[in-house]
Amino acid sequence: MSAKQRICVIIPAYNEAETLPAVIESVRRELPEADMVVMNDGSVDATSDIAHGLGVTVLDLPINLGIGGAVQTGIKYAWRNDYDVAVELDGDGQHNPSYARTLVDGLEEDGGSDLVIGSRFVASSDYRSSPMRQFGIHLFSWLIKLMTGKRVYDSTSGFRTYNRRAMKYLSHDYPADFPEPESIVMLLSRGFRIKELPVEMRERQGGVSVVASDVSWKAIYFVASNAIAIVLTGVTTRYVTSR
Amino acid sequence: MSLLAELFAPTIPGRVQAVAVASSVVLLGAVIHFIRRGQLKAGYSIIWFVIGLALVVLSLATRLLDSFARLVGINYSPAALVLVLGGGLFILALHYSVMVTKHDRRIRELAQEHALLKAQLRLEKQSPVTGVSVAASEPLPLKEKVQ
Repeated sequence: MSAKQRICVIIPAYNEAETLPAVIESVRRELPEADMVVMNDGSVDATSDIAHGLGVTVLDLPINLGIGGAVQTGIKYAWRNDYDVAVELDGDGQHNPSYARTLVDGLEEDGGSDLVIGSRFVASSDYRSSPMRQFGIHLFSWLIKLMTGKRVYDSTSGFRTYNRRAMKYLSHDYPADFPEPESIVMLLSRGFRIKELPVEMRERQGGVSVVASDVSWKAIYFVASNAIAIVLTGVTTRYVTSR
Repeated sequence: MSLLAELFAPTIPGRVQAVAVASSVVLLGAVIHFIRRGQLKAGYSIIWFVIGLALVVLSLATRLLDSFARLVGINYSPAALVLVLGGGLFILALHYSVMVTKHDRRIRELAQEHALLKAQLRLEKQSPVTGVSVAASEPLPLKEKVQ
């Protein structure tokens, strides 16, 4: 990592009052030079007050935009304020900030990448997820390979670092509903370079996950809509870029 | 005149035609009423207007309805009116999905700008002298304008 790199850690948070203080504390310990921004996505608990109290910049969204809209707000903030690197990390405590430095450095290694994904599946990990989620993640990985020719193992990971090139593109165009796999297809189809590095993830420290832990209608809906989004984005991007 | 008389000569059962004419006139009348009162933007109502007008014309000029029904392989002409209505509603639903997507994107942009500007305002209040630029000194144009 070059010495003068400015890093912005962007933390999407929806009702994460319980876990946010530990996450912020942990980021301060691991990346002391980084600035932190919490995108409070219309929380109804004390997320905003707690984040303000901890002295980080808070972007209070007036309505709940969902994860895609919240993350894009952070990317816009980092892009407009000339940060060199944006680190995306969930406010629920499942991403261990001790890997953040590795992901930041990963942007410049091996000839450079535009997006580095903290992946649960590149190396062995203690992370255990439900069979439905495992199936979904394998399906997404296969579909992304089909659409872009490149293999991304952990396409739903929201533990990521972006360089300015990726920030510039994504601040204009970022998928709204199930953004992680879709944004990978968008970036790969447009020639951006993506790398995965192994991280360990913890179970959520509190709150309720977007995706239910067992096979449920919600989980089936999550997998189906992501799969459709990957295929549609792949097809439309190909069509638009070849026009 | 004989051509017009021929065109409007009743070829479908009188009761069916009465119901078709009455309901399509009510539909067209309601669309015009809402446009006049400013409750329906003309741009959004054009599909409604076209559906209403097509139903009025086809239920009055039943010879035309017969030709259309034969063209699409329908034996019982009044059923073709249902096809026109169904097709129109399908186009309308698709149109609304496109509009909802567009508004969704606009609302997202506005909410994001709101959050960024609020953070900038807070920072400027805290340090009015330095006034470090935080967020949206130059708001980015909406996506539609970028493309």
